[in-house]
Amino acid sequence: MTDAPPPDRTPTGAPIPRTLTWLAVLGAAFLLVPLVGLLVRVPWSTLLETLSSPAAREALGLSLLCATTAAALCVVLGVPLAAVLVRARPRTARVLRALVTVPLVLPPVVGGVALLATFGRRGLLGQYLDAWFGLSLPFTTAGVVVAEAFVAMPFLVLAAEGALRGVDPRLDEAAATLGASRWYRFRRVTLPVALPGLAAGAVLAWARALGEFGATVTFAGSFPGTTRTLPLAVYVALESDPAEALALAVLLMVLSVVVLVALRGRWLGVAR
Amino acid sequence: MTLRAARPLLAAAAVATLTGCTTTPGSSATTSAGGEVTVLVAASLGDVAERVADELADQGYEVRVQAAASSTLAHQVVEGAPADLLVTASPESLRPVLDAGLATDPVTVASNVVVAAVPADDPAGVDSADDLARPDVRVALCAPAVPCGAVAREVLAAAGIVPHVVTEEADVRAVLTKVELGEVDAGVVYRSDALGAGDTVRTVELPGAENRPTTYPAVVLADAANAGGARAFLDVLTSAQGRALLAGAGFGPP
Repeated sequence: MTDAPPPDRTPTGAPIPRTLTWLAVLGAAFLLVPLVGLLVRVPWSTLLETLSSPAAREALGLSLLCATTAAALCVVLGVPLAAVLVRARPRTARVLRALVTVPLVLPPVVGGVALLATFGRRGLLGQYLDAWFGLSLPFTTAGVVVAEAFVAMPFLVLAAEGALRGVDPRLDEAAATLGASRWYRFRRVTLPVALPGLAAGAVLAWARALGEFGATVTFAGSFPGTTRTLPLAVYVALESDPAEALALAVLLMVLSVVVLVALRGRWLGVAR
Repeated sequence: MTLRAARPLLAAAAVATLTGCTTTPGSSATTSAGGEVTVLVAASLGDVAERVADELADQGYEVRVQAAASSTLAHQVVEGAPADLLVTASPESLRPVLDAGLATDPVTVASNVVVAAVPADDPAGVDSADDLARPDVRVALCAPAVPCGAVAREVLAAAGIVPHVVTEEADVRAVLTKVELGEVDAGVVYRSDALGAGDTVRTVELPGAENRPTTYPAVVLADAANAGGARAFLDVLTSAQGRALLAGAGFGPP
């Protein structure tokens, strides 16, 4: 969030107040104990068997495909949006930022209804997609990607805006005086400096997309192999086989933890 | 230490809040009517349950109705969700609750059959059950694990209809929503759901559906905080008045 060399964030000598430490312990417990509660219930003996079932593998593959595509879509559209927010006049930026982050506070199911009202067969745009091109997003894998990107993009935009704002404008100005074009400056000066923050945003968006449920089930429906991602499979399994649901939930948890830890070490090492 | 000492107090306060202040703890349940009653009902019964709740309000009961997928409700009860009465959309979905010893002696309160619901403007031209087999007709069903999904598949299979299923929803209301929004050309739902949707959907009968009715068992839960209230709810639901409410909403007799 500052100049090119990362700030030194190693712990300093001054300890924080003890009250804060206790509240921090409580906070960590609040987040972690439910996960332990989940893990205790998991039927470990049949876990591998459950997870190697064709249905589980199908849901896993679909989840990875959709979350990754959605995160890519978020980057392609969200980073330019963040760049505009950084350059916009403060008041314009405030309004624009508030509007763009609405999906953050919108209940995902409502987001799904909004997407249906827009891209559905009778939606604002969907009716023309259907009539002119025979295209229909609901109940398709592309629909899952759209739902996930809709919910995940605000995470990326906010992170990317912070990262881009942290780039020293003097770097850009210096490059400009040397005759570099706008596009070249953005690509070769601004982007590399902001990369760790952008990557963090992309990973966050990916994780949000991976766990997306409400907008997906509302907009894209739930069909094995086409739209039933892991969270949807968990929900369906809860109806019939809670043990299977828990196993799938563990898979989802392990997957996100592994990716978050791995990427943090590799890409975000600079911001350690 | 202080926290531990406060714990029973907090628990008592929580219980008092949950059970409502109209009934004092320890008062004889047989004589004192009223109080807060928590009723969990299958999604399709939600509207009727609200009407029964209105009836009971006159008798001093404050009924809180929670309507959701039967299997979800059963799961919540097994996990210890506080409730007085549970009504599910099939005997199978109630079984976990009976197996856990949380209730006995279910009473059947209603029955229902599946129909095909079609958007009012009928974009695909679905006039009979056979149209459901057309490849251009997009059909929504409940997931096979949910009672409405299991029944729908049995009825369709018995009628020799293989539909083009585009989505398997987690509960019957979700199927109906997709029909009402016109995103699918037909959805298999209970007759009561199709009726409850009013003018937004049209009902197409499925042949042989009456041979595979689903029944709604009700149980007063063993851990009920207000078992008297639960029985009062059940009494209204099984009275002539309750039957009339159910019939008006598209349900069949038990």
